[in-house]
Amino acid sequence: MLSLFALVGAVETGLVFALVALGSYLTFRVLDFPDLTVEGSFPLGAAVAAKLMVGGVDPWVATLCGGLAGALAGLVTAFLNLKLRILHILAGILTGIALYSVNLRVMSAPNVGLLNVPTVYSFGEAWGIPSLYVPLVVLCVVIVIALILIDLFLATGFGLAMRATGANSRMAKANGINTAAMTAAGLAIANGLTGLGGALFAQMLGAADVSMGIGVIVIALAAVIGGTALMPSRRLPLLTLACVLGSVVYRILIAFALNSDFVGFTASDVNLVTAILVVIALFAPGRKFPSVRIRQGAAK
Amino acid sequence: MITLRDIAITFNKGTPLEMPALRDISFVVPQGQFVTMIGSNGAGKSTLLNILAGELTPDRGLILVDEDDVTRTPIHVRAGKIARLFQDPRSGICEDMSILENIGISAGRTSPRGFGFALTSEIREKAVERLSMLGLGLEKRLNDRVALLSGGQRQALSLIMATFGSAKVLLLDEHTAALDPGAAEQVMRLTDEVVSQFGITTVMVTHSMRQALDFGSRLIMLHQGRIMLDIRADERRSMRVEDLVQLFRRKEGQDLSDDQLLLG
Amino acid sequence: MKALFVASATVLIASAVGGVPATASPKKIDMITMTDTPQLLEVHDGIVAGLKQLGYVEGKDIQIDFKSAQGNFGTAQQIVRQFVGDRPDVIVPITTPTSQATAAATKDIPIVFTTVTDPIAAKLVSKLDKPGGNISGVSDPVPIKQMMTMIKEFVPGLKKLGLVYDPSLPNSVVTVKQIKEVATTMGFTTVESAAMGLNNVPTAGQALVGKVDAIFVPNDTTVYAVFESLVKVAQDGKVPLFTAERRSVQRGAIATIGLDFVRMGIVTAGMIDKVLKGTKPGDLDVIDMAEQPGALSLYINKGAAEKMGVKISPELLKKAAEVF
Repeated sequence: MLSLFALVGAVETGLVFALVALGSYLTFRVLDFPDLTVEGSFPLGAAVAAKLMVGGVDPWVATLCGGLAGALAGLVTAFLNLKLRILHILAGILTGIALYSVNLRVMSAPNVGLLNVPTVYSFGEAWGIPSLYVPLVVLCVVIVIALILIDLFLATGFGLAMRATGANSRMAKANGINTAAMTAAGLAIANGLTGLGGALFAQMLGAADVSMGIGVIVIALAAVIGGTALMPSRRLPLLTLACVLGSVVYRILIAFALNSDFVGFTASDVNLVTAILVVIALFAPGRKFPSVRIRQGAAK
Repeated sequence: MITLRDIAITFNKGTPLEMPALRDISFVVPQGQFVTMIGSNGAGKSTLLNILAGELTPDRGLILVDEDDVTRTPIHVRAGKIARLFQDPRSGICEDMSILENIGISAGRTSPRGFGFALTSEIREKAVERLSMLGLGLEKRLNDRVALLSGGQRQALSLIMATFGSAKVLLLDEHTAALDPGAAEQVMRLTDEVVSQFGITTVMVTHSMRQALDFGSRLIMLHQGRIMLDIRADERRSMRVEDLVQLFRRKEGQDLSDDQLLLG
Repeated sequence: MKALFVASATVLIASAVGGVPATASPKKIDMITMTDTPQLLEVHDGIVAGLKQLGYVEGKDIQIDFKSAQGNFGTAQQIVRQFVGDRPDVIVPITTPTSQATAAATKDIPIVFTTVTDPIAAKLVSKLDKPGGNISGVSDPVPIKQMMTMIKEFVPGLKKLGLVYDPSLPNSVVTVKQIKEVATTMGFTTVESAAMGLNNVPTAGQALVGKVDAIFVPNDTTVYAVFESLVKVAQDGKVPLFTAERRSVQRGAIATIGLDFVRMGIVTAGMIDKVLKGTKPGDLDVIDMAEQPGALSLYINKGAAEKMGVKISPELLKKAAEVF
């Protein structure tokens, strides 16, 4: 039986990773830049926030700093790709690899415990909200704000320019768009969101751990692909919402899979379940998907 | 409006494939003039256009557009002054976005792209107004994806997009070559109307001598990287394709051997 | 397609909600491990065996639910949440990250952690005697001084000690730090060789050949997972190899004192037993495996020693609790 705890836990985890999914939507879908930096920027956000919090910094400030650190990581990838002409996928991988060592340095240890410092969820105790629901409340607020900001952003001139950069960079340039700046900005925003997610997740988990980033990109993509498959639309605000829903639904399905009393799934099958979901989402007949063709994308 | 001075470029320098694509090209295009440019394959006309657009940097020489030196300016900065239509109808637009969104992109050409809403009612009105000029009904389909448009319609849209953002110069890169004859004719007609209505200085590269004579007020023919013929309006008016061919033979001492050029 | 999806979702939800909850009598023990490397599975086996020894019958007196997060933090978080929702009688997290996640998720369900090298550094408890609250457990610090003394008995001229470990594992990092602290007083220096992931273990070992007099591996699940590859490197390079627990000596290291993961499981079972009988974990001291009886037993692998060019004196062999 899926307990309330497990369900709420699934939704909370889904919301945190929705931040990463939104970031991946910006890079993979809008900019057409397959960005793998997230495997490093997710734990980087966690590491920076954790280190600051243990040092006595206010948890909200620390969390924002985690986001900023993630954004910086995105800029590094941008630099590798735009200035050093390294292939986009490789640029992200390289930054991700380097960040592993950077994270160890930031934390001076592979793991920084957060069990006895005030976190962004600590206020719940003072307000009398049961601790089960606090992350849910906080994350809902964060996600709503993030969605509003992203949707507004994509509707601005800047956002439109970024979309053009990903859709047809040659045309974008011919229309006065500085595609390099757009790519860098997109990578910064996407990884900033990821870093934010990492910081929020570490506070849920009770620690920042250098291995937290492993497998994050697959989860993010599963959310993007699955979400946009469940809710295909041409309208951007619906697409971004779809990514959030995709992340949450994915986590709920995992929760069912973990409930090994029926169907016979175990935790070890999570990866297989993920892969199957992505395949279904990509190839289910009768659905119109944004396909994953290689277009004249942002990173040439 | 456009000044080119001693432009030269060589490809594959220092290798056995070395080819001087342009040698000492110099000419001036006054404001509002419509120049057609022809030449056989390898004559250098595409190269010249690419240099004007900013996709190539010349080895030597100077390009001035409206008194500003743009020789080494990046494409996206140059785009404030120079608009371009490509041969492939898919290159000039984002086909997964709507007509209005594409216009929104071109509207930001000359003004900095800020955090204001991209698709304001102002832009929408302007889009309807300009698209109506085409007479293709596109102004009623603002939210349709460009992917639904035919090649001719896309080029027409690109044409209108080029008029946004107060660009002063229009480069046409064989923009009707990929269209069927009916669409090509329609687009050429629209080009003529739009260019004269907005007074845009235009350089059109074409593969067809017929087109080069029928449109514009000045014809430049390139051959092996040099300007071979530069014929003004009055001389052009009565010319026919055969006359051009004769002129070429007299100047070069050999016959034009490019079939497409002659028959197109 | 959409109809199919809705249908299957309904079935899933229906079966989840319609499932019959188990009646209260068997005590529920929920166990989670971060990864399922052989070492950690031994802990699980030890717990199961220990509980059996204490008279618990699986299915009647107790019900054990054991899950692995497969190295994925997101999954670990969800498993922990699910356990908390289960309201078991005790949650047993294996290794540091799962222990932290469990401690963060509940302040009233009893937690007995195990295989955490430094519970204080991990912020699980603030002190080892009667830590208070709902959490206590078994820690496996390496008895550093005794271990280093042992190594010197096999390699008397020890001047440089190589350390192969995975820097992403808190347990290993703590041990390495402790070794570095005693090294100078004991007359040798350390050379660290980090193995970032299983595939890099042999390379990490090769980097030390010719540069050190011996290699020591802390309780590092990454290295242990592919331990044979490191053994081969040590044999080929004739570098004496020592580890921190018994099974790896069987697998080819020369010697170790003390830790046996199965025994740690059994000791953990003892603590679980007390908790099931009503004691709050906070009232139980954290058990330090190094202080357990038999903790300092010497295990030797004669064949390994020969292959690595180390001669073992007969007296040393006599001291051993077990010789492989």
